Amino acid sequence: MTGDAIVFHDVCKSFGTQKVLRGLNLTIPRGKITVIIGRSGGGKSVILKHMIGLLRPDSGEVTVDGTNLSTLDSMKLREIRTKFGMLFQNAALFDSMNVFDNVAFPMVEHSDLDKNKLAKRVKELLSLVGLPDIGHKMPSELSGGMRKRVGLARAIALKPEIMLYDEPTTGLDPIMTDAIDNLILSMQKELGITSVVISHDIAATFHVADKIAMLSEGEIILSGTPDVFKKTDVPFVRQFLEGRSTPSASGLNDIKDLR
Amino acid sequence: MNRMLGGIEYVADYAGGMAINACRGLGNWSLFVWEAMRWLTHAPYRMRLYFQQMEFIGVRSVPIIALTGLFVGAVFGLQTGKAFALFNAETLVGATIGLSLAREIGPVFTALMVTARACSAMAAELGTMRVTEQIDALETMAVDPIHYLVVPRVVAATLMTPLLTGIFIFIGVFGGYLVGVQLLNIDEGSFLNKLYYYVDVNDLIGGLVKSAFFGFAISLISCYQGFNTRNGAEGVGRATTQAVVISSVTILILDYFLTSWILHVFKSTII
Repeated sequence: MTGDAIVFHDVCKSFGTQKVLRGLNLTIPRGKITVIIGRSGGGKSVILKHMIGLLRPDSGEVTVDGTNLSTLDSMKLREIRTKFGMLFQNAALFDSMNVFDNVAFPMVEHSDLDKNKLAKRVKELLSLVGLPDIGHKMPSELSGGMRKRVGLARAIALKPEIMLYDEPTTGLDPIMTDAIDNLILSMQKELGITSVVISHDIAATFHVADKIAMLSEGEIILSGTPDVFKKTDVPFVRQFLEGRSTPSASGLNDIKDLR
Repeated sequence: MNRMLGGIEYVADYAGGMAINACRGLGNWSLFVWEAMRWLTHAPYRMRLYFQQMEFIGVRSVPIIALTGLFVGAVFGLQTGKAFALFNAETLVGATIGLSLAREIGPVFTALMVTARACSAMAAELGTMRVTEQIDALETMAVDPIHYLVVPRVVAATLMTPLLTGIFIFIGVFGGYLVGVQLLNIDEGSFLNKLYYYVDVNDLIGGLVKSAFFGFAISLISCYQGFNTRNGAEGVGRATTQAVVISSVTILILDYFLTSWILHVFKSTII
């Protein structure tokens, strides 16, 4: 199949009085890596949760492979979800299970691997994220970065068609960050996985992205290839990419003037 | 005039908001119960989870049930022994303890103890799982959290609460015997004789059936509270408190209606 894996059409979502998404339109191309950037607390995770049906839009529709998620009951939704793997911002490991059982969980639930094959596959996955010998540890004994990598191993265990990464490299050291970025790239190149990445890391964004979408005030204000972003003159996008806390270069002068 | 209208508007707004919230709460609760019932008979049956919960709710509650049972029976023996001595009816102490434990005290106290020990833990655990996105993670892995987390807990509580009630009643009667016969010197023969004569099997069955309903209700309530936790650690605390309070109140209210039904269905041959 070609075309778009996920389409957002005019999606609005509010929590209480707070409007998070205001008529959001976004397409996620199949087999590509799409990176969503935007300010913290701007609703990027909310977008990701809509893709997998954890949240339902107040209005508008989200379609995955042409199926409108809002029309599905819990059983049908479950079938769609087997296509997905999701890495949560805080990893969301089951704290009642050790690392081995966490990574094995999706395979125990959805495949009929025997004990030996399961152990082998878990070991493979843990090596892939650079943590080969921690199967016996409990999630509470791990650092944030290690937890995230275990979460990643769990998310890719069933070889999903679509991977959703919520800040996959936040809290990791530069070497690990690069390793995870390369893992995302190689999964897309070798397995053709559609990936959606939420990131604050501008360098990594340009490194992995086929498409970038920028969220601001509940709407996508710019989307396109990395080149489009490099050449854009939309002030807020420039400010974000250059990492400035004031809207323009002259803002800096304003501060100087105050002194 | 305007102030009065404003006041009326405020009251109407407040009452309307309360009514809408109540309806929403009731709707959510009904959907939750419906989903739990729907998944009850749905494969896969994860037996390990059922046994884990039975161990947690049942086996690990035995010490506290035994301890409270013993002392409730003992204090019952003491009070009735002293009171019945006023009109020379000490021989009825055994029957009184047996009947009241089997019909009321056993099921109600056991359910309250299970609420305090196991249901509070259920609400806190599910609540923590909710706020740390573990429940969301289950959903993304195409595992229904109600099927995986709620159904085993409700089934285990429904099966284990009657068993714990049985233990409570047995040890309670033993506590009453210790105080009545050993301490207050009531004649052992007539104590046991009256106990056998007045306490019917139907009294016991009625009590156990009642406690199964209690176990079912309190575990569903506690799971619901945990499942709908919001707002981090504070929310988990609130959910746990709510679970215990609502479960305890439900036990006492449900007790009246169940008793009126049970007295009708499981008629005792004596009373």
